[in-house]
Amino acid sequence: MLELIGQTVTIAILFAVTYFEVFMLLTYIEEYNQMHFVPHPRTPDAELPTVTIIVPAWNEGTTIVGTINSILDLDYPKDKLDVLFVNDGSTDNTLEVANEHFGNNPRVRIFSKENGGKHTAMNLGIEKSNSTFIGCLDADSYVEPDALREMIPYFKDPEVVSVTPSVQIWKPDNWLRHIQAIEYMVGAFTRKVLSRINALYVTPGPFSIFRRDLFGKIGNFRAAYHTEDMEMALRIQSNKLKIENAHTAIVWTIPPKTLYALYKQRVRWVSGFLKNAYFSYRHMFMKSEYGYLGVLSLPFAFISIFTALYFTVAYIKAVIKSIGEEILYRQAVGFHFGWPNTNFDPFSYDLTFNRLIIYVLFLGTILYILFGVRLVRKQYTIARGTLSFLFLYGLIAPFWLAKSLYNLITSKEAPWR
Amino acid sequence: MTSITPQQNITKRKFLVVFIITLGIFAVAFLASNYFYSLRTAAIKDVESGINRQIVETEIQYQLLADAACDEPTSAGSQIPQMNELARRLDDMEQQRGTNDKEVISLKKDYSLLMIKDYLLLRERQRQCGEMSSTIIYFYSNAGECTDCIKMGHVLTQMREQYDRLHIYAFDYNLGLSSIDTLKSIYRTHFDPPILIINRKPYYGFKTQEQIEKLIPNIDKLRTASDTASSTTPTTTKEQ
Repeated sequence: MLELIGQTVTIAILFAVTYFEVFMLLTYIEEYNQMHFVPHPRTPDAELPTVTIIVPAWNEGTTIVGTINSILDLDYPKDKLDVLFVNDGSTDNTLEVANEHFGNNPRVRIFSKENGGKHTAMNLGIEKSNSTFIGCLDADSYVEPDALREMIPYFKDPEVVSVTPSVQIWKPDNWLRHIQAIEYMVGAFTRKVLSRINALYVTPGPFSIFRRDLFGKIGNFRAAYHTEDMEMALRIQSNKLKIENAHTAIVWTIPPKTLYALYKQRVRWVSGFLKNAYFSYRHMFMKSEYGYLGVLSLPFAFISIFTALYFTVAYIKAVIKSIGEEILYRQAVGFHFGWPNTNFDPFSYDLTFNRLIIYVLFLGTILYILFGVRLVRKQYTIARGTLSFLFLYGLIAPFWLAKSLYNLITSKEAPWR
Repeated sequence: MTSITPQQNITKRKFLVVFIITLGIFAVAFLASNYFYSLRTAAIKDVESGINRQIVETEIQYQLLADAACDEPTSAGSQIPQMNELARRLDDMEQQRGTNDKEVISLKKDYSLLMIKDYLLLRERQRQCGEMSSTIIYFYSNAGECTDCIKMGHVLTQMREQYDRLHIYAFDYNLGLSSIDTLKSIYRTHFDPPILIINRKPYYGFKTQEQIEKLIPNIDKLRTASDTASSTTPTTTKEQ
């Protein structure tokens, strides 16, 4: 009986995951003509709107200069773009560095306040700005010069209140960062596809642009379990407004270098998503009035956490079984040194139904990677880190998924840092 | 340059199309899985049929030549490599489809009958020709967790690699085959696997290679001529 229940649950999960994958790939095909790389027709400078980029920073003394310079170097009229730097109570030399490099720059305004969290820094920036559009750039990120010009055309649709960029990893220099680089490229694919069905549920900290009057309508940023960018996106969707994605607007970000730093970052992200979605926006779940977000992407994002954990448990059980078998073998015949038996019989391939579906899903993941790489690099190539991503990511992600789920159940806060 | 098109609005039609495609993928996977399974079943039946034919040929050869058959090369026991291959494939199938799969059980029964026939032929040749070889009949169980059966299987597989004239016949105690039940009653066994029958005497529980070697007279004379002379594959689902 238990075996039957387990098999039924497995097939139901496989069906849900396959359904979502098919949905994404079908949408990609439908919207293929929107995945182009030809620059948008250059808008005359006189027609471009004013934009303020807020740079909230807490102890970012080493990266702040590069971040602000990348904004100042944007291909955008200088009189229509300014930077609003907000020092959020840094305890290092962030403020001194900012004053030293940009104190005399009329395009950079510097504010300093007591530490209150990123959302308070953003809200101060919104209050001090009077531009038509407001953006945010985390102080560990850099923008490509054409990014803003690639994003502004999406606002031609008056219902679009926010445009997100394609956030990518800046010069990955170790295996973990290469894995993250692939993950971010897959993210480029999923975000672009989800944007075509207005199903995005995050406006990333690195360089999402908002209409300024949006904040007057739906309010400023909130603490939102340290994930104010997800909460803002969900609030936008809850108000039935639109979020777009500009896949050609590349923003580089510096990712965590160590496993522990990555774990902490992801626990914060996933915990924040789960809490925002469950405690504040669960009224959107399975409601067709919220479009594909309500019926598809939000429920699936929630379910996928349980799905990943379910398969991880199955994987761990298989590994334990395998280790157990090896121990039994060694107990029976002892240790022998020599070449392992390399006889291989195609008969040993598992071609049962469940396994065939898993192969299909694996192929789908490879397509996600290929399409993501194309969207970022503008051509189909094999990116370094692909194999590690395929075979290792599934082993490390469950740790932060499990912890995030624990945080949700126990209502525990994930620290910002 | 393509202009930015409006975002898609939610439609039931798209959900339905995706559902049909997903259902199609599942249907293809289901049919493909059954097709591969039937191919594998057919391949196993082919091998079983080939082994059976050879055993029957040898039986006929014995009956035709009577004592003179001792001068002829025999195939009794010589089917072991094919049987090993067959056992490994059955083991793969059993792991993939489960121990309760009817087709797997049916194939295992056929396989067990072949082993019994080979065993009888070998015993006949030993009786007629006084040939030096030894046999071990091994009963394992797939019911419940029999870790000692798994360990025993490893030991026996290793021993077969080292002794080419040691013939090991492994049977699932609970397969529900009357011939196996007859073997069990001949040797007066009770259900406490793993069980080894050596020189007509049952031994219960896990035995190390050293313990088994002590139970077989003249074990050194059964040793493989060269290290590479024998198969490295298991003979049964519980011999790994």
